[in-house]
Amino acid sequence: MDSTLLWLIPALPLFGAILNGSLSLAGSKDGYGPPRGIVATFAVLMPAISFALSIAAAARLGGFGGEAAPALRQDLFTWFAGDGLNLSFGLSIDRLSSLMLLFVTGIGTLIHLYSVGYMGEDRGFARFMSYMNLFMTAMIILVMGSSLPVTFLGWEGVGLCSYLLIGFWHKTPEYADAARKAFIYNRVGDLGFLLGAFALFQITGSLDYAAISEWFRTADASALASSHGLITAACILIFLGCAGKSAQIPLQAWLPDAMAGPTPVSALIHAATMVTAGVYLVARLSDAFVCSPEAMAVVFVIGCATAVWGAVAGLVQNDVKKALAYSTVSQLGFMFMAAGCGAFDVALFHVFTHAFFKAALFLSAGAVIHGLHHEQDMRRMGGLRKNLPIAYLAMFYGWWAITGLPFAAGFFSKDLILEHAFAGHVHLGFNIAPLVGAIALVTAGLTAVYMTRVITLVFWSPSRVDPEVKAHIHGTPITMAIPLLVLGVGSLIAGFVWVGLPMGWMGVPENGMAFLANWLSPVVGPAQEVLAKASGVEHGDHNAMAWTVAGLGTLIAAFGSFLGWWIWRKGPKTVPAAGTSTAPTGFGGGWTFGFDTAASWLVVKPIMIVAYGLYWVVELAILGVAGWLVSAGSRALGDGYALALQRSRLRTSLALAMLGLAAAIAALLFAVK
Amino acid sequence: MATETILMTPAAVQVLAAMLFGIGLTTAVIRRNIFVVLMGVELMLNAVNLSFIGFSRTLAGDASLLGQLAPLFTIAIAAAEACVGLAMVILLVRGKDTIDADAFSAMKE
Amino acid sequence: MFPELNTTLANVYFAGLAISALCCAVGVLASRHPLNAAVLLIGAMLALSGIYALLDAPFMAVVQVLVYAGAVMMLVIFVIMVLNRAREDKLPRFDAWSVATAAAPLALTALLALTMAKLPLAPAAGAVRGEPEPIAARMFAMSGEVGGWWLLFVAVGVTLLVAVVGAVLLAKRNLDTPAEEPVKEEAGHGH
Repeated sequence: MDSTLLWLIPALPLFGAILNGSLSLAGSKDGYGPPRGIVATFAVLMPAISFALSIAAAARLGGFGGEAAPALRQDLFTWFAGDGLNLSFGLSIDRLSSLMLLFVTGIGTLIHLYSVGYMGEDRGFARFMSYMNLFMTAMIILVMGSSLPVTFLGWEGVGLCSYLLIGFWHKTPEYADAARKAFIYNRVGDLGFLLGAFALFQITGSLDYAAISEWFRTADASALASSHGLITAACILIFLGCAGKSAQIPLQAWLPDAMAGPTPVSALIHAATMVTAGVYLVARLSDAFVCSPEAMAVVFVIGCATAVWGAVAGLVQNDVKKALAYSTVSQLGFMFMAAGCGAFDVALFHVFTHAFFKAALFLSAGAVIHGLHHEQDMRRMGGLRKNLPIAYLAMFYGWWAITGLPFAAGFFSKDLILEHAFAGHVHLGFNIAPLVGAIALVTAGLTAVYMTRVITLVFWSPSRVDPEVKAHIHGTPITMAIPLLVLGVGSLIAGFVWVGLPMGWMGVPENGMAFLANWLSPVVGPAQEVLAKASGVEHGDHNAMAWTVAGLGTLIAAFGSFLGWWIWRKGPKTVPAAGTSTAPTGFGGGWTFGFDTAASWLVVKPIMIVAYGLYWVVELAILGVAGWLVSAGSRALGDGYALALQRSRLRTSLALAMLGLAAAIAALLFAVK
Repeated sequence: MATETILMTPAAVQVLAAMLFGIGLTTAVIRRNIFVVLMGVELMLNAVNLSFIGFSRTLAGDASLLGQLAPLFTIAIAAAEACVGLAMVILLVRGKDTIDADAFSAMKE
Repeated sequence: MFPELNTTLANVYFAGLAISALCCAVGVLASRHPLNAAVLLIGAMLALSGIYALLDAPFMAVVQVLVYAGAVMMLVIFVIMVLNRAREDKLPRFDAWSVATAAAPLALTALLALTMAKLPLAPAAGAVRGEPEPIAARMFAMSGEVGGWWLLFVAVGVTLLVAVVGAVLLAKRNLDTPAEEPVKEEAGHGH
């Protein structure tokens, strides 16, 4: 694997997208659509080959199959040249992007396989797989981009595909509205991204990641101090972009609505990949962020607030997919909390494990929905262990991982986050570490509660399923079962890439099992060093605290799970009739829709007022009057004067012609004189 | 003959031609009788011929001859035009049974 | 035609012919009956013919009388009489409207006349007298540096032919009905 093959990784899914898209268009006239086998084969094969290539690239980075290199880079063509900006369209794989690439392509391939089973009977199957492949292309370009514009290309691309996929069943107005909402929120974030990118260019003179990191790492204190304001502004603006893409407050309201899309979409885009692009970007620009403690504080506080908000919201949902969506929002908040403390590798570790267990949870929810013929209300489920064993297994492993019970993936990543939260790298004038640590702990407990609530209502409580539906429960087809199992097992073992347990415990050598930390250290290490020096706390040196936090965290998780099971073990208080809305009401409704209402009053209504005002003033008054004037004028001239010149009598026409001729000659004569 | 005269100046010939032309034009435009209109047109053609021959006297050599050749062709073509025009008059009158030029005002106002 | 005419006489003749031409023209404008108009037009043409003769164009003078006054006007008079409507129709010569509209052509005429009057024209010394021989030589010249108009002459002849044929076709009755019909009519009529 060498760098000339890098372009294949995004190009293969692109080819799949174009092929499937053409097939979809070609087969659009007949009732059945293009042949499913061909579409499915290409759609799954392309990301699979990309995955294989990603493995080869990662191996090459690690020293197998060639000389170990810090990064593989391929510059495809010169994009902008001139006027102080020389930018080429480059793809690069370094350790950070190889990590992202591995799970994006790997989990992506699995979810494509799952989609074959889930969406196989849908009329728009080819279109769906085409959009999914296009999403893969865009996401790959996002993580493989060697500079901010290339990443932005992927950034916009995933936003577009998100819109296309959320509104896949576009004939239903609510789904199309949800798609538009997602796109618009993303767009607001994109503004932040662009402005931040411009600011970074202003500071460093380049948009290339290598150059930006180099500048921040080697800049002396005076340079940093003089542009401190601009650096802070750039980082906050970039974080605004991340907030849009990763659904943080205040731009988080689109993610739950995005559940309108098919379940594979929710799993791939809104759990495993697209939403993690924000964390990736922060890690990529970590060298810039650590130079601005204010920006770090903003990231930290918003991450924390979002984690709490998401956890409470997840507790009051009735729709299984929405519960998982709020869970995603909350978990993303955790990731940003870690990033805000300066623990970028911890954040990325949580991205990695979260991809596995959230995808497993969503896919199993999808299997349940599929099996119950599109019933999504948890209050009408229950007792499905025997009917849907594979889905149960996957959800069980995912639940174990997300609650942070020992040894599954979430255990290690969440504990590391809690550790770093308590370790106190963030100051807001006073040491807020203990306070935030406590909030994080409580949120972890809430996570356990609401996730246990979900699995209890779906699987462990007595069945409230409609007997007729129960009789016809679909088994899970093999194309859905394989990904479920793989991801379920992955949720269990993915954590072992970084066992953050204290050193010397059970013969584990010091930092020996921290594969991931070592892998990422060339990329994010320098930034973490800077922060460690600044706050005087050595990164990774939390020996005594580690035990305490691990123990406390596990206790709270266990307690929360027990609570969740105990309260809902008999099912919900009332079972609503089929077709009732799943929207939460009362306090839950207020909490859930609070941000939507605020956005509506602060943004939407003023814009509507301005729009109507413009309509009445500009469209009706000014343009209307202007249009009327033009039309009335032409009518007067045409129907009035011009018509008068057209006489039916021959003599009259002749005479008028003579008159015209005489006038012309007179004019010429007098002009000549 | 080719001497400077008081009345019969080349300019006078042209003025006569212009006046004849104008009268012919007025006839063609004003009168309702088709035949009179045709005759006005003939008058105009004659006036033009007179103008040509008047100019041929003010030019020398070949141009002077050309000034007398052109009216020859004009007369021939005028004859052809009168022929066809009268045939059309016959057709028109046969159709509407009147020789009033205003009867053929079918164009919308 | 009259090469030895002295200037005064020429002026007198010119004045008389000009005035008669103008009077005949005005008469065409003002006549009640188209036949009167035709005859007055013939008069105008004859007067013009005389003026051509005075202007050193004898050939044209003769052609004018022969062709224009003789053939064309005869055709016009013939058609007027054939149509036989000239007597019955009581078309007014001038209506109120036409008097107003006359301003246009009259204005044009005035302009034209004024322009012509201001032209600095003088008789040229080398003006050729329009005898038939020079004209014919010029028109049918086949060789030399200037070409003749033999082709144009033939074309005009063809035009005349086409015009005549066309006129006959245009004016023909029952162009697309078979010839037997009038026979049948008579047969029916005789029944």
